[in-house]
Amino acid sequence: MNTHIAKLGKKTRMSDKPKTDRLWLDIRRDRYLYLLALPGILYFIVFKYVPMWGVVIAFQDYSPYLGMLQSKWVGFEHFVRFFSNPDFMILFRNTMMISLLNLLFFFPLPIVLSLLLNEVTHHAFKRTIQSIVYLPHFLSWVIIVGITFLLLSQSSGIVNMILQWLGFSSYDFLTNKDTFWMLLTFQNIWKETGWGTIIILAAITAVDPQLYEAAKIDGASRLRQTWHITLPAIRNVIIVLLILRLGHIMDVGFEQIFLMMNGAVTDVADVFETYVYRNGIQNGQFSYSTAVGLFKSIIGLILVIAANKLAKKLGEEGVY
Amino acid sequence: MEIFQARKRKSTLAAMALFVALGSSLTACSGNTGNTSGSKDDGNSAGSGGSAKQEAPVTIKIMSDFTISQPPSADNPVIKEFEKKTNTKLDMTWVSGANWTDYVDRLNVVLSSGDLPDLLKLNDVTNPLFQQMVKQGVFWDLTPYLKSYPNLMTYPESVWNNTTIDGKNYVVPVARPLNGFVFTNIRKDWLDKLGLEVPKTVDDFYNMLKAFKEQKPDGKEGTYGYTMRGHEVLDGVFTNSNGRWKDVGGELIDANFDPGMREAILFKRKLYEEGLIPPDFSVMKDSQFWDLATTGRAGATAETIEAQFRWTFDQWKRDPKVDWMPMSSLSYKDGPYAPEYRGYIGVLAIPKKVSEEKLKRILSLLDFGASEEGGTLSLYGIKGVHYNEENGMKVATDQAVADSVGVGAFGKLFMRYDPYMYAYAPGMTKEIFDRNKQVIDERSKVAKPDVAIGLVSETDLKLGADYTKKMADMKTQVIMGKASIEDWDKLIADIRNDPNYKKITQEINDAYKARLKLTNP
Repeated sequence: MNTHIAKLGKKTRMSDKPKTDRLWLDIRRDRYLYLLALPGILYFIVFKYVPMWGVVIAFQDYSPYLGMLQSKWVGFEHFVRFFSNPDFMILFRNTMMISLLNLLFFFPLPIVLSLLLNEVTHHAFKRTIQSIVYLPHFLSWVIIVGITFLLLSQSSGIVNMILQWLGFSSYDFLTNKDTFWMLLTFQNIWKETGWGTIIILAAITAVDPQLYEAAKIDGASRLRQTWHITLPAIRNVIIVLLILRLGHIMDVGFEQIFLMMNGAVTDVADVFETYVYRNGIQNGQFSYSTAVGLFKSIIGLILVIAANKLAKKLGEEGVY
Repeated sequence: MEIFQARKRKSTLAAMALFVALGSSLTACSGNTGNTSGSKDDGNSAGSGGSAKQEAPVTIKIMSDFTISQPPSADNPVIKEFEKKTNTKLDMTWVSGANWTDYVDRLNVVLSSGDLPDLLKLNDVTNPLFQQMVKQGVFWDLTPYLKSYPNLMTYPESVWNNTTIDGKNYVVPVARPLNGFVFTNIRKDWLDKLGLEVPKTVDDFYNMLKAFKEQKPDGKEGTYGYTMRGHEVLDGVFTNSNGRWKDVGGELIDANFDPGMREAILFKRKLYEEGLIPPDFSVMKDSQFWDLATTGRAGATAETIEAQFRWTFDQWKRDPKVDWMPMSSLSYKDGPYAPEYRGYIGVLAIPKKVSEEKLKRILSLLDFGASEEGGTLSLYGIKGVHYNEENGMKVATDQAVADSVGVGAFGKLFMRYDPYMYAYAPGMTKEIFDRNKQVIDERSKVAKPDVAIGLVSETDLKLGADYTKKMADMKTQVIMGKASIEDWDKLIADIRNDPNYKKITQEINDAYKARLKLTNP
């Protein structure tokens, strides 16, 4: 018995050594590839993993002067305060609604646009359209919100001027609680739809052309081809995008909302991000806002894992 | 090959290190590298402490704000003059304060980074992080030193009292006059054209706005009465109190709970319903307010006397008859009201890492800035270069603008107390200057101080901002008819009964009484 164990131990040790050696050899052999990866790895270590330790301040009464090591530990106090805050439900509702509207109306659009672009046979025309629809992505939110204000302002906006000229009364686009979420979604669609087509178009080009030829011989129309060949072929990509998107369901875009927010619409516009900014940066409550941020990230993580599990159960590949 | 590789690795590391260093210096917000200059001035201060004081100029790192388009450059002649007069070397970091909250954001980052300059400009002593750090002993208690700086001591006593923490002075305020700050300004030439008197009461004010809208004195389509810029000043008129807290028989209550506030909201709602104010005032940017005011589409706005004139001066190029007149006061039930400014635009703090010797040098520098000579240098520059004297008035040259002379940059740091400072702006005629001085004299007779300046409630720092925001948003919504006045009543009733808010009120009252005891023993 004893010898057996000793033997086993020896055996594993034996096989251990060459393994590390082999790893080392591998690294030596592919040293340039590793070197190439180094900046990326360092980037993740320095800017993603090291700062991650900062979340401990969510459980402290953090004071910048005392630092992370000497600040007082308070456990879940900040979380309790956050969840018992009556504003929590409002923030949660706004965040979820804005996110869901985006998911419902914005998410399918890049797919539709890609399918449409895919049907364009004139090559130069297709290229031009593609470039034009990418463009808004490169404009910052400050500019887009500026344009929105110029267009929709009630006292001097062009849209309202046209409305009045046509005999309608002016409409309070910017200060209307009922349409605020739609306005955000619309801005998002205008800005990001084109950019979203990149991945989908790439996936479409990977579809085997023989499938289309076979379908054509069978007499399938273009619509049929799209429905039975293109869509099933890119289903994987769509699902991966959907899962990744669910992970960001609590991130509704600070800049856009912060810039669009005004006194008349705060009830529907205030989201976790703007709340964290107000409390964390402006009021210096670092611990409290870290707790809120941590909560947000955990929800995102749970959703990604759940969506991934679900995707696998339905026989899809998922992200990992 | 080996060497080449090793070198490569090293340089990647070096690049990484540089990257990290860059990152940290960015967060520290020091324009020019943190560590090296830090150790340099430590050496300097030790040197000046040990040997002859006048020989080695002491390097002082300063962070302050500016509100003009360009900050003064390092070789600015006015900085050189300050350095010469005070035997210092000023290492300035100018941060844009054009949007004040941006400056405060940046300030908070500097405070939390711990890498503090020798002299730091803060928005107010009430800054939560600053309060925390004062309690941890990061900043010098200046109380024992201040008495030896006569020029700083010319600042009004209320300004010194209002910037104390637990009865001690941790900061030097940057003085501003108590009167002449933001209040309503009206188009006097429009009044004359329509044969109206300068309004005295809120009813007069309303009638004036109505007349402006209906008769469009400049003939512009879409003329409004009031731009709604700074419309909070009207709240003061109705509650007859300045700021967030109102003293009612020695007890502070939130001015929002005062019945006058309800009246103010209803008044503005009336203005909104009758189209006397722009319908989208709540989303208008400052430039849009000014657009209305300076293109003859609004006859009332709010701004400091001095800044209003700068806009007028600009407007004169298009229409030389324009006459924006600052109002002396407005009255509601409780008599005439004008707000008194807190008397300082910000405060300066010195961290304890600075030696006592150097601390004194910094205070001397500020004292020089508060003197006749230093104040003139800060606001007007060097005689013959930046200004010339004409009829007893200083007339700025083009060089003054090029060298950022004036309140926009140096005046954020060095200021001599002058009660009429807000009466003057470059380009002003003697008549307007005299009229402005008269307005300031009249305001000072009725002006209400903000009783709660500099008072701190621990709970308020933590939770107060949310309540304030809620009330402000509700006001906007009621004014715009998106919520009813009953919604406001309900919100106020809820907040009044909120245990946290009761605590805030209690704490503010405790701080108020403690300060009264200290200042009037």
